[in-house]
Amino acid sequence: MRSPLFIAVLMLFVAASCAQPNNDDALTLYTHRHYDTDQQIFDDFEAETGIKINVVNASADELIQRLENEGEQSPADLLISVDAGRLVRAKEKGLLQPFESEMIENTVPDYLQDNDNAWVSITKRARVIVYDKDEVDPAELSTYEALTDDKWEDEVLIRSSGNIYNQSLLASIIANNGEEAAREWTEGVVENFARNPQGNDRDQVKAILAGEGNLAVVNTYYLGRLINSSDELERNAGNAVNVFFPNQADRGTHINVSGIGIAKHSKKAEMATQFIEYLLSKDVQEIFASENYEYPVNPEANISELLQSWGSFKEDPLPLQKLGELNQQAVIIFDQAGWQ
Amino acid sequence: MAIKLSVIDRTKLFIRDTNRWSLLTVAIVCIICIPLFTIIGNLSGGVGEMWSHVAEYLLIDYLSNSFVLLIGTGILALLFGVPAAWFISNYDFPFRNALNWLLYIPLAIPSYIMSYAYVGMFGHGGSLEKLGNALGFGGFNISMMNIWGLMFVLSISLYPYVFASSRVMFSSASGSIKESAELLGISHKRYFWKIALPVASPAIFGGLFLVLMEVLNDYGAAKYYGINTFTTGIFRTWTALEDLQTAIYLAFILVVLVLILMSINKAIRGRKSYVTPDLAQTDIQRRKPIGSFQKVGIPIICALPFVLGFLLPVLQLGYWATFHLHEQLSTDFLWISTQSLFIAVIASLITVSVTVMLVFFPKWSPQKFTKSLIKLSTVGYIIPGAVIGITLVASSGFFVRSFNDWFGLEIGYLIYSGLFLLLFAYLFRFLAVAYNPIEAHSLRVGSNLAESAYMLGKSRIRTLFNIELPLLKSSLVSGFLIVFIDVMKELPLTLLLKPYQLQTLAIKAYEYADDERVSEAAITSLILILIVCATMFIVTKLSNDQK
Amino acid sequence: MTKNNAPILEVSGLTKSFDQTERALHGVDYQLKAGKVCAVVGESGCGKTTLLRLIAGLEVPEQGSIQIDGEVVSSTSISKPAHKRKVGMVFQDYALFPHLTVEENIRFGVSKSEIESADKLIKLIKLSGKEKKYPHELSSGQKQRVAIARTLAVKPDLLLLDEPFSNLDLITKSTLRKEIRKIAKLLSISVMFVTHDIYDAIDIADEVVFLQNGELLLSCDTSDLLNQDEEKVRMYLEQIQTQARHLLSLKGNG
Repeated sequence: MRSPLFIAVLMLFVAASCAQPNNDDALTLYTHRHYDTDQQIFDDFEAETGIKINVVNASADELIQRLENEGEQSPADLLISVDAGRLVRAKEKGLLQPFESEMIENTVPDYLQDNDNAWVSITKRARVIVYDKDEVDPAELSTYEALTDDKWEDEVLIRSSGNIYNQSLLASIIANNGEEAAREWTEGVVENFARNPQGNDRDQVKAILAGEGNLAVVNTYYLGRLINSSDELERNAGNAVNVFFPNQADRGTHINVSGIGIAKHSKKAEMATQFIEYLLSKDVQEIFASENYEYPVNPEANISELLQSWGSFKEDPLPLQKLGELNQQAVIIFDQAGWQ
Repeated sequence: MAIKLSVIDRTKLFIRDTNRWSLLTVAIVCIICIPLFTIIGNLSGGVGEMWSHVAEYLLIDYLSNSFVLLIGTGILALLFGVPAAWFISNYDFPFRNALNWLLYIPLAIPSYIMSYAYVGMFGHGGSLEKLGNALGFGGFNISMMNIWGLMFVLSISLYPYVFASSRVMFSSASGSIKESAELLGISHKRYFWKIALPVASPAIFGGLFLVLMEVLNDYGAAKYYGINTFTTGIFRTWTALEDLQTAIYLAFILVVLVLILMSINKAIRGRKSYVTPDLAQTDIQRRKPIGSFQKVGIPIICALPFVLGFLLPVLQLGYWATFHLHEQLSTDFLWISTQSLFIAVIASLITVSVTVMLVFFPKWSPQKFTKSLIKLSTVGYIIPGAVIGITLVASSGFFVRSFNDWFGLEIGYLIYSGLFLLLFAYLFRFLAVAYNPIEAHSLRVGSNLAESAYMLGKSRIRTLFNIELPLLKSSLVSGFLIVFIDVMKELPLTLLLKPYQLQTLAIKAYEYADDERVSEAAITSLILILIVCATMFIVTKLSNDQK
Repeated sequence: MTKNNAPILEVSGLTKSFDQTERALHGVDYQLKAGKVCAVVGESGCGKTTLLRLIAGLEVPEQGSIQIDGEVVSSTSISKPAHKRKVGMVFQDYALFPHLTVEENIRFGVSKSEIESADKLIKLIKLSGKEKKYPHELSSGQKQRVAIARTLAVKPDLLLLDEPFSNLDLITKSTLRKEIRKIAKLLSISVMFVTHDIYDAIDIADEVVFLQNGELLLSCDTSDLLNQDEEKVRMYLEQIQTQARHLLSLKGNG
């Protein structure tokens, strides 16, 4: 039994060597965000405070599942998701503990944080309509609801309904207009599809450049990336369109956020709170805005030139918690309308 | 004239025939199948609340898309793989030796990266359009993001499975069979259709089966191209519809479907014997030089899969890489690559070792039921990685809690932060990949040699190391290699189960691509491809030298 | 060491059924005395090979027992593994290890201290000069010799041979036959071999066992063969006459 025994010993060794004792000066972060900028921010935090951030990257769903199963012995201290819905879900499953921080309380507007302080947004993204500069007169645009108008037949480009940003958008429409209106809206948009949903947000903008349609629904920071891309084609695509913030006359443009919460079984809540406060500080917020083209949640933070060039806009002040609650319903409506 | 035995007699025989090897087999299978048991255990709870919604609006779509995709990808993979294998085995032509090797390497490119590369090439404003514009032909493009594009991308990245299995059979087809066919005056064409192809068909189906499993398992490419398949459906049900129960149910349906496919595969193999007695000696056989008419056609047919499956996508990735070279200089690729290599090597070693145990332990006991049990432990290959991941997290959570309750030991940190879970997951997921070729090879080698070693007084373990493993070396090496490549490319399991210290190339590439920064993923992808190619090259070189 | 005339092999009530029942055995009883050579004769599919494999420990019976040298090695509650039974077996297709040379094949089962006696066997079985060859470079007769030498090298109490002469031409066959008997007597090993050709049996065996449809038809001393009045036996004996004539004509030509 040479070989199996050898393997067994080896596995134990490997397992043991990888499991270092829990470091007192480190926080374990489960995150769905994976940007180089974030790593830079974590490094800066360590340099400033001596607290190291250990990162586990996966989708929020998987991370929540993992947290749930690990229970009390979870190594996680913090959870970051790229949408509010997942944080709401984590909270409902009792995976988050409330933080106590006046700084957070006072810095972030109410609708961007949880009522019970289980989570707080760290960045915002607006889901906007971009239009072909040459083909569309922005005066013709008004609201998300107007996308179902017959004049946009075969013109609307939007990605698949599997995407969380679309789910949140529909959830906001359900919350604001009711389920029946949301269903009609979904069916109307499907009728106006320029093509079957495919690709990501960037691909929708590129499709405008290619002449497949004149309107696309995308997140703002992807547009920022396109405009600053090293690929000439992407820059062309980014520059061929303008941003339109819908629903300015009524509730405001739909926003979604990435947010953070402290894991229920973390024993380092104080340190974790310190980290969240750091993420919300003016300087770090400005890095999010300039490097990643996201909107800061700290009102004091300045936004980058590019974001300024798109103009300021009115946000839909719907409590984000609602988006989480209505997410499932939104997906069901998508499926029923045949939105792939 | 079957004998009638009483229950007591049968029990007695059962006890006699149960030795430590059959017990070990059962133990190993039980441990490996923990994720499967978790899935089945979850089924008892019935379907989740979203089931009727899924059944009404989605299931037909998922099934039909997956079905069309399987058929299309299967046919394309056969077209890419079989003719090339045939020509390389039987004809001499320029670049034959190089192509013989190059035709395997599209496996080195993860299919989701391939799908991005093809959109980058043929999509709007892609490389093809730029090239056309630059050369003055005017730009044109091909829309890739549909089910046909997905079929193409998957088949071009997976055909090497078919190529490899048919290549082995074509080149080892018994020399005497071939010569007697020639003596009977059978033309080369007829020989292919009437003899070579039927003899090779079980192996080709084996390769095709791997392709189909990978198609069912694909998530990244299908998601990017917006095609709803069974696997994307499982994800949607779990994440968007928030119904894990139904998702697991769907996964179970998938497993059942694949088991049906497996038994069809087995039925095709049938009871016919395709064993070629002088296999070992006819590895090198006479190859025909080709006529002038074929001089152009054959190299083109053989080069096409390589060009489409490797050269073009790598060129596209290389082109993207030039954009980001300066930004990513600071990334510690060496360290990330070392970690990727380390974990892939360990995982492949473990998988091949366990495979050897599962192939041989049942043979060492007269107990018959253990043999059928083995099949159970190879189903991991057909369960989507993420489903395995969730079930593993769930079952490990159970173990950790039990340890805590019964022994007061906190092993959570060890389990959740170590490599243990991840390595186990790879083992479960990729066991079939190593098991199938090694088991097939051991069947071909037969049991006579081992039996004669026993008769010479050698124990089973010694026989294993002195006789059987040396004879199986080629399939052990290829089993290792395929698992290695699969682990290097693996995503969902690694993402979910990795300890936070671990950073692999596949993860790094995914992080960019998931964030819609496809071109930024190019450098990482290229390093990944390079390492896989180098390993393939070194391992095949080593095993050839030792022949 | 075995006592004279004590049975080296004792089989009783041996029963084995396969899923496909064709090669099964039913209630076979038999004893082989130490130092004797026994031939098991029967048509193909009558269970001859199964009998050998059961004795060797490569299969397990459903009923009955097997004793080797007074020790029960197989019964409904015991099954001693093949490599511990001190039984040697030569397979019909020789089963030489293709990746080892002749010498390495023969030394395979031998401990280091006994290599010399193994090497002597090479000479005894007339393989000198072929030590460094690989199996695929040998003729069938030579392969058979290697297989026998390899088995003898481990000094088994009982040597089993499965159709040892079936793939050989007549002349090689008859020389090899004589040699096997000579060596068996020289090393005082008990031999049991399986054949479909009664001529082999008469030429070298002390005892003959007839198997038919998995049942023991008859067992007797070879010398007693002519006194048997079973129709089956007469049929086999007629067969000999034909073959004898053939062999004689062959010798005449040479």
